[in-house]
Amino acid sequence: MRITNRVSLFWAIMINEFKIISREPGGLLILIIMPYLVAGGMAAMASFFTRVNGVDFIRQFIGFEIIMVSVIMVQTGARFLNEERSGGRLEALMATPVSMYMVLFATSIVMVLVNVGAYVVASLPIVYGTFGLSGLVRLIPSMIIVIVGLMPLYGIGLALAGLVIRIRDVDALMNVVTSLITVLSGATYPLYVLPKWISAVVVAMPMYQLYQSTLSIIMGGGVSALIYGLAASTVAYLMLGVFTYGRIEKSVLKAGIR
Amino acid sequence: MVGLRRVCLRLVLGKIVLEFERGVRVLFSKPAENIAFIISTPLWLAFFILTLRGYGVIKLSSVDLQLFLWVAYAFSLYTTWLWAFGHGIMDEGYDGVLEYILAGGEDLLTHFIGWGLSLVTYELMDLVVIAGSFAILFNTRVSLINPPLLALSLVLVTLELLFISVIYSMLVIKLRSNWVITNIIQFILPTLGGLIPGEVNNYVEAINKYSPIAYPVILMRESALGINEINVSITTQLAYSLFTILALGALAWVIVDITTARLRRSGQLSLY
Repeated sequence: MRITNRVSLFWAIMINEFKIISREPGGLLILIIMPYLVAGGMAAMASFFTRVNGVDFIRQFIGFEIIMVSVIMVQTGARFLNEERSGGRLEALMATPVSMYMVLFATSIVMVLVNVGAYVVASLPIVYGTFGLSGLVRLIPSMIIVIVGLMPLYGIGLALAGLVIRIRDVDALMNVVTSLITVLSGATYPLYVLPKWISAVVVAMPMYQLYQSTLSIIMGGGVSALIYGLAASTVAYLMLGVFTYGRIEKSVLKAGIR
Repeated sequence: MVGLRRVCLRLVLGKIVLEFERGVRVLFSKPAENIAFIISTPLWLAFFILTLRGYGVIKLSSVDLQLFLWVAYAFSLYTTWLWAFGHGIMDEGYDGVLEYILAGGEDLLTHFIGWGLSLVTYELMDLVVIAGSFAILFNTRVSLINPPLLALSLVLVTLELLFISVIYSMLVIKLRSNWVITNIIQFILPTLGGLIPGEVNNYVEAINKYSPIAYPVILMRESALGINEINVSITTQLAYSLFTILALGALAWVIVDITTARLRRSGQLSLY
């Protein structure tokens, strides 16, 4: 397939996915208001025990935003494949000459753009309110960090997408994955409260690296050293995702979809 | 006349029991989902407490943990009823199940009540899992000062949430993105519904005291912990709770009646 054909195919898949997402404008609204509801609710709870200051709140707010986009990113590929299977289109899709990697990447890129858009829109008022114009300027590099940081999560999502082709109880799997990603994010609590081995797991996860890198920029601390960890994670988790998905897809193509 | 009334009652109760049985079968037809729930609940609780730590809350007393246990349970009740039941009704509407029920000569409210009551099994599983998680994570044993009152309050909470979910689902079923509203309501309803203990501050105590839907949830906490949160006698709280449930039940009956008439007239419940 020529490169121009590949690009136009990629674009067509993206447009199709975007049209599906834009059918539910309420979903986009939730992406924007949810961090306020959750961070605000938790701040209200915490305020009964201690004094919550603005910096604490913004740290937690960014943390909840990172958790939310991470969960969505990890689930995107798996949810897409599950919907295709439920609609009876997965076998036909896999039988086409188009690589499933391209299909999954194009649909996920749309989700990356939506997530980053929601992150910027949701953060605008609170960052401007706390740091003024300089905060708004810092949102731009943080946006780039978020785009990069979603890539290793896409890798994890790819591995999950492979699992989803094999198993039927997708909702159950997603429930467990969501709670695990949330707890292991390290985005809303200090790491020293955890046992050492769990802290080590959290530091190795892209959610923590993404959170710390984004927060450092938003708070005016410059680029965090964890950015190198994030770069390494991007390569490692993408390889893991491609390898896992490839292995499972190969076996499914031989045996058929159950 | 008396005999006829008994036959009618037996018929209605029989149908509710049938719906109850069907609901229980559906709930337990996917064991993987129940296992996932059992695994994820302690993780969510750990995350909640860790996040409080992130806000600078260093120490929680055993009373605080007990209160959190009942807050967690009340929140899970609201979530279960709004999502599993409320959205379940809407899904049945979109899939045409409600129209089939009507076409079979059945009553929608009977279907909702029977199916809703089957969620009691889920509620009890919720309580066991949350109590178990608190015991494992925080070494906190459930305090049960007044078990009969706790059982009664659970019945009251169940009936209240059943009717609220029916009313809610019938009102928003025609909206395109109703899950967005459910997400928002999931936070607003518990706040007005006694989720936050009155001990935390005077504003919350005032909300709990003057919000009629808060009483059953507060009773649940009071019966477990033996603390009178809002300085209102238990008898008065019970009376208010019963009155609220009766009012909600009547409202649910009227709204389901209107929906049924609309369904019979147009033959279509939703836009889908």
